[in-house]
Amino acid sequence: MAATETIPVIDLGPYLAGEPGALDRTAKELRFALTEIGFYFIVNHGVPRQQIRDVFAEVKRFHQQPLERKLALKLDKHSTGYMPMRGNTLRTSTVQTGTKPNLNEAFFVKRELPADHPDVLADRKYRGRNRWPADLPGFKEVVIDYCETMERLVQKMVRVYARALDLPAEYFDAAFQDPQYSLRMTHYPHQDGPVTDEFGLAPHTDTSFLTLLAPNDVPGLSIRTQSGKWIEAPAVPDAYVVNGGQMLQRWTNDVFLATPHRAVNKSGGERYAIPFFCDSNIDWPVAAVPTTVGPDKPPKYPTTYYTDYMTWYQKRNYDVLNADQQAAD
Amino acid sequence: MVPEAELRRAQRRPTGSRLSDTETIPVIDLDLPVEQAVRQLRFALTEIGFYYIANHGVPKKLIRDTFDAAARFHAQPLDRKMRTRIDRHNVGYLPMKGDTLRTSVVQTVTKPNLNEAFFVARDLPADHPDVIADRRFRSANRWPADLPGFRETVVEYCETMERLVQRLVPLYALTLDLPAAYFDAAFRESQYKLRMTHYPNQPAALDDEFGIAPHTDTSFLTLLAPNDVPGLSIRAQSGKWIDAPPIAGAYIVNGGQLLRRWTNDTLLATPHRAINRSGGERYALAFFCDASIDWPIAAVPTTVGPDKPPKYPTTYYTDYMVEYQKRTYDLLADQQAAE
Repeated sequence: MAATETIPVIDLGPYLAGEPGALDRTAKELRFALTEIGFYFIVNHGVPRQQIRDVFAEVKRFHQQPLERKLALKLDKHSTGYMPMRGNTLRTSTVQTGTKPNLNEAFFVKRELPADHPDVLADRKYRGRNRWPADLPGFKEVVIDYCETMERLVQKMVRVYARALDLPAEYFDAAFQDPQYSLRMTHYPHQDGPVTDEFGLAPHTDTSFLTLLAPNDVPGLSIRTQSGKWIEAPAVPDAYVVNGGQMLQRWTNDVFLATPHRAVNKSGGERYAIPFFCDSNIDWPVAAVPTTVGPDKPPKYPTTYYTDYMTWYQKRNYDVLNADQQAAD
Repeated sequence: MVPEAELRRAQRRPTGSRLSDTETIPVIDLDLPVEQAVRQLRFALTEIGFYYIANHGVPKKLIRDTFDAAARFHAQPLDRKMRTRIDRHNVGYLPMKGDTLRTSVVQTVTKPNLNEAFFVARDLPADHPDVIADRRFRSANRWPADLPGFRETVVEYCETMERLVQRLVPLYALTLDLPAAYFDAAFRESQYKLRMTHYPNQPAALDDEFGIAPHTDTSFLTLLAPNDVPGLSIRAQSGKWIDAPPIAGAYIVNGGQLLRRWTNDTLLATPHRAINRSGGERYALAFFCDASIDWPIAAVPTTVGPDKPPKYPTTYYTDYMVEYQKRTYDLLADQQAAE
């Protein structure tokens, strides 16, 4: 049984600089992180500090709007838009029976598709247009820029994932050429008192291949290590926190972990968090990679696709969405 | 490119009998809309394992020039050819009767094949890291010294074939219900070999003497150049041997053992053989193509699941070919014994 209680810090600098041997060295560290604890920090990731500050400022601006403005952008079937406070209960959690709705509000953005994109015209699920706030000049531009920066970072990181799985470095390139992503801009109000079953975000695992959580000065994230112990993720200056989700488990036939985590804001002030959830291209089959299966080690999961999996997942998760959809059906 | 009548003849299938249906090798026109080409490809690769391609865009002249190059090569005196004798990378010259297909699962073969062949792989420069490291199957080619223009023609032909494969693999992906780009990265620098074969005329072939004995290829796919001289037969799923008649200008394509592994036996590797009874010499240009040498070969996602585990362990070109060739090439075995 894996027994590390420390979230490792991976320095992406040498790999991103193209230093000889750095890719495989970094891959080895990544393999350790994803098989032993499921979370890691990255430093020297190349994302400008100012860009991160700017996007946090925009998230704050968004949530400071009056509720009715935010509700005008209410979460839709593509899972983009605004989810109000206590808008969801994590009913799919295998981690803990979450009894109380989550104490956060969030605004979701996906890849910015043009109005004439075939998927938009076809009203394809999870390929809708983003719902931008009307009166926040600059918001859209900053957020789109940030998503594109995250996308490029993921495209570099998947080569490390490939090597960590003993695959050719380019193995995931095509799958992540047009990745399916979602940026969640969350506001956690301060929570007083002891936490038993009310969380900013109840214990859960992500669905993603990987999640990039922006460096945050305000603590609040805890993760459950393989020993079962909850530990706090310390704030490492300028470091992204990265973890895998259920899709990563499927891609790797459970070789890599999807570690449960939760968030509680006891900082005394507001907390904003900006996770970027990233998966492969929406049409790419999600199945165990060749180095994780064989005749004696069959795939544990049937091959799935983003749309099917997320439809199943979200049906169980978002009260707001469910109630609305069911009412509309 | 292919005369209409010939296309129709090749595509015509007797009705009423599913079995006879599979005894015709279909012709796929690459100018067809993708969905149609994919439908035909799926039929071809699940029902018979062979197909012709028309409108492939390979210049007629290049094909002719490459056949000429093969004839020129084999017209050299034996001692010249023996100077480029086949090596452990499987490039170079394999003399007449130099191999017996001992790995054949198709027929017990006792006599060596009645052909001679010259093998060329991707033309790696002398300073390529794989060449410097003497990496197996990644050597420099062994070019004949006194055949001006030979190398240029053959390299151009290989590069043209490589591009044709890159055009075909999206159709394979769609045939397997995968995104069109699924195989693109794997075939960006494919591992290939061109076999330039000379089959002398066999007027009275013995029962178990073949130009090339019944076998399946190892490849993901093999592209056999359009040939005026017949000689190829394939074994249909019914078990019957049928001739693959030359169709003017059309390539003949088939899958091999590695295609089966990629598809968990969803797609076929059909046995075939060659005998030259034309009365003259026969040359054949077979281009065997696989994914890049380091790409893992395993069942694609749409062919496996918890209830349908992979039939084969994940393998790699090098491992598979080392094992295969150990059993196939007598000459190679001799060489290894000498070492």
